[in-house]
Amino acid sequence: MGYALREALSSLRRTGAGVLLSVGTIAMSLFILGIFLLVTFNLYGAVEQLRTRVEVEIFLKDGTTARQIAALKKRVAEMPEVQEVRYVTKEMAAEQFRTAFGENLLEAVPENPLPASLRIRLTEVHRSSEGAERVAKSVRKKPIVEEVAYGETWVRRLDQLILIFFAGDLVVGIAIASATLFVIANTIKLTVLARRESIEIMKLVGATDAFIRRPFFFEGLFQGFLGGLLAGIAIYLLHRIALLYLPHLVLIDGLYPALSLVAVGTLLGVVGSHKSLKRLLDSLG
Amino acid sequence: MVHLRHITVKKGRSFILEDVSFHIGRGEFAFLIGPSGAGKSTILRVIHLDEKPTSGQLVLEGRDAAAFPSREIPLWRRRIGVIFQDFKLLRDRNVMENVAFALRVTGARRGTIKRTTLKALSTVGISHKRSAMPEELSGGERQRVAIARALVHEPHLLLADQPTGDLDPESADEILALLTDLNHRGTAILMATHDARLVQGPHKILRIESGKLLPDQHT
Ligand SMILES: Nc1ncnc2c1ncn2[C@@H]1O[C@H](COP(=O)(O)OP(=O)(O)OP(=O)(O)O)[C@@H](O)[C@H]1O
Ligand SMILES: [Mg+2]
Repeated sequence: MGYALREALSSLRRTGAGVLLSVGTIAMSLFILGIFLLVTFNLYGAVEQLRTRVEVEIFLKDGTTARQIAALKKRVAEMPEVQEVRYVTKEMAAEQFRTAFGENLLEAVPENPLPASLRIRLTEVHRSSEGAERVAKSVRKKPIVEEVAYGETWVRRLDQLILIFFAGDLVVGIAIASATLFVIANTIKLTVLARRESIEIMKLVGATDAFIRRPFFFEGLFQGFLGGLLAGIAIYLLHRIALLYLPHLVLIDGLYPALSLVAVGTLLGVVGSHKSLKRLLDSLG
Repeated sequence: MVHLRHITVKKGRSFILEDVSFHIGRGEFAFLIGPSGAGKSTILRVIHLDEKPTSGQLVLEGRDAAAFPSREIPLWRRRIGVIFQDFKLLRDRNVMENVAFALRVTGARRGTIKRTTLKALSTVGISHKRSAMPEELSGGERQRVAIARALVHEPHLLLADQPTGDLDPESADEILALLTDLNHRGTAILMATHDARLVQGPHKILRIESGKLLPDQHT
């Protein structure tokens, strides 16, 4: 193992500029992948944020008894789509209205016109127009229910948006990932081919394939890791800068895309060098 | 030590070697001569286990080479040295490192590497140039370095593929003298060459033409 490490290091030293070039290439292509990851992660986070706002409101008729309300609340809470049910009294509704729109508006009318309601937060998987509609449908016909609302139009639009976003994201993601794979595999292949001569001589003098491989394992690991690290740092900084300019956007932690890049780089470095070396050794017989 | 029995090598439909049989004994010196494209290098590659014969039997030190498991192939290659017309030295390492390379990549210990390398360099008479880079050497000197590298595992057999092909007559004679000297110390040598001038002495001569060995060419 000592030999393999020393050989890997000395070969990196020997081919200094070449290594810089290939690490740079790997870093650059991972950086582009990183931008994609950053955008995806953040859009995904934003979508999730929006989805938590999908709420079903059941407005109750005036004069409904506490028992009837409790019974309905219990029924609704038992539905699989429902995460949480809150009872909002007429007074609480008025209070909320006041904080939202100011005192004066309500003082103008003689008695509190706002209905009591049950506000339903849906479970994560059901935060869509289908989920909301199912809950709405099951209670709409109840005698104590005045009306059910969940912002049908915007929830449906949100659903469409999410679908388009994920389809587009998938296509772009596959394209970028394949390009990254292609570039890195080729970069690593070039560094292996650059050592073709010495590999040929190793075989000539009776080095075993395992022995020939080991330094390349470390070289691939090193180049992939370093490329991933550079790209990761760049992405992390980019994220930090984005935070400065887009403070009102909920940006998720840039650490995850950055760490993914280090992992992907290292993995591709190791796998890439293994594969191209295997092909070369097979061709040398 | 090395027996070829009815060795045939086919590439597609054409025969590179056809029914080649001969044998090289311990400490023997044999020339392998024939025109370009006759199959000389192919024979050496077969013995070096770089080229698998299509048919026929290769027996190495009493064992059928076809029965060698693949992880034994490198071990066999350590027991035979090879040198080539183009030397095959690594340009980015000096003489000492080039020779030591053969030991390092076969897992030798550091102490052994230094000692054995210096000994091989002195055997071929190039110790004084041990820090030189290959491009600073003459062709003859480069071939000496290649020979030193081939010697570090103390081979029983040295395969030489036109070792003097790129050398001036004087250097060619020196290399042949060196090989003859090694042969006297017990290393068997199989040398492919075009150079009729060098083919002399009490050596076995194998003549090959279009992949076939011409009969009865012993002297
Ligand atoms: N991999 C291969 N595929 C097809 N044909 C090959 C292959 N290797 C060698 N040959 C052919 O086999 C023949 C013998 O080649 P070889 O290299 O053994 O000749 P040689 O006697 O060493 O020639 P030279 O003196 O020029 O070195 C040539 O005609 C060559 O074109
Ligand atoms: Mg040849």
